[in-house]
Amino acid sequence: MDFNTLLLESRFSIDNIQAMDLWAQGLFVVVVGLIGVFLVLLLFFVTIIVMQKIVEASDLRKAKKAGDSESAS
Amino acid sequence: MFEVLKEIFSGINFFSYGDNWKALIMYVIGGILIYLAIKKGYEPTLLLPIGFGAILVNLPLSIAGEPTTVAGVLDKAADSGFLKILFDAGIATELFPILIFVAIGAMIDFTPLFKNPYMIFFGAAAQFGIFVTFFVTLMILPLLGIDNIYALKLASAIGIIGAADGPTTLFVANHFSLTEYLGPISVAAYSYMSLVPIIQPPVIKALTSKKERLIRMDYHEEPVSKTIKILFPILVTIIAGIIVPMSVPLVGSLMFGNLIRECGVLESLSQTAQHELANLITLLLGITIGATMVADKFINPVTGLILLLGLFAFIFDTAGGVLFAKFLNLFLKRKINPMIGAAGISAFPMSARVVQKMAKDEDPTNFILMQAISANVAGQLGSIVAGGLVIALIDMLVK
Repeated sequence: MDFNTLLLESRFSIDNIQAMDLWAQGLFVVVVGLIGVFLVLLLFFVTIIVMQKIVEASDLRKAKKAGDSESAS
Repeated sequence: MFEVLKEIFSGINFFSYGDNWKALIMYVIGGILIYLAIKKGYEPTLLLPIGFGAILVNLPLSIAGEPTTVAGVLDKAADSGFLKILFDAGIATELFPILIFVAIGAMIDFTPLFKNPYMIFFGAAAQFGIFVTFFVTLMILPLLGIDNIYALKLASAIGIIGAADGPTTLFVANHFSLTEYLGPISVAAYSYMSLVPIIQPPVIKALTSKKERLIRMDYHEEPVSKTIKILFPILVTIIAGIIVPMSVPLVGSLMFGNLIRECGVLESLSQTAQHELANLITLLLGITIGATMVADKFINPVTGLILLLGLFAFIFDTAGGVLFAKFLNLFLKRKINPMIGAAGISAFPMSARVVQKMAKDEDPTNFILMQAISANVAGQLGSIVAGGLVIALIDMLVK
């Protein structure tokens, strides 16, 4: 099966992909693989940023509490 | 009398059988690997055991009148040879690469990455060579008479060599049962890892101008919370496990090692993983890989092709990282030194050191080591994820 036909007709079933020419299967692995690596590492990136924000906010809250208790005493 | 002597010294007779003369070539190859390890210092912990294993497995032994290899691993092997036992226990079960990752995880400090989180994308960009080489190899292998399904499997293992990540390469090759080519694939992966200081600089220089190599980058020495260091390995394992389940053995073991390091209550285990475990598994892994280099399997045109395409993959991985940095510079106000991109491969920390050395050669006051290390640890993650994705995709295609 032709790769363009697959794209145009949006018939990305496993059977159709397995029926593709070898070069088209190779291209499929290249495109999906590269996008996949970027997406997974993007998720790791988001994880780091979110963790940093949460820890920053938590530290700020603790510092504020400490400041409040100091001024109260 | 002659018959008795012939039986006792059957080893000498060994070389006259069929293609057994090829064993002599393997002694030379083993000798070269040992020479490179001792004299040139290229990854001696691996190349020396591999070289010795290659010699050992090609020594003759007569069993029931049929000369075969002493402690072989493959089909001609003596069933109970110690190298075969090691192979079955550590490589065939994928145990050695996984244990090595526990050790590597305990050695890696992700702090520089937490300070430069955007560097993680270089770990993805530098996997470019894996996929380019996969495609090129896939087009070549059928011309050598290799069927499509085997070509998909072999091309994926050859592509992964480019990540300069020995354990992942071994894991992928073993997953696809490429026992026949395990020797050349592993030798290529580990040799190119050790040749980072020779292979990367010319590629980086060819793709960057002097002005680009002089770019300075800011680095802020801020402390990173211990909570982040502990949560990161746990969350990464969960995310990778959900998105790319095939990468779990590698990511899980790497992150387990890192959690032991960062938790702060298992110092003794962390030290053991970094030293004793790493040394022991490296030793066994090396000699077992060497034992896959049986002459009649190793000396064939496909071996040459694997070594050549492995180098091609490695060069394109380096180029992918550098070109990605140059691409980002088109949009960024504060430019990135594009050499950093080359450190996105998995060879840790050699690649980062090479990049820093090149920066220092251009300007002795330029310090980009920490950024390079950030990209380098990201490359470790990127190559594992790429390995897991390749396994998942090829498994789906050949099902």
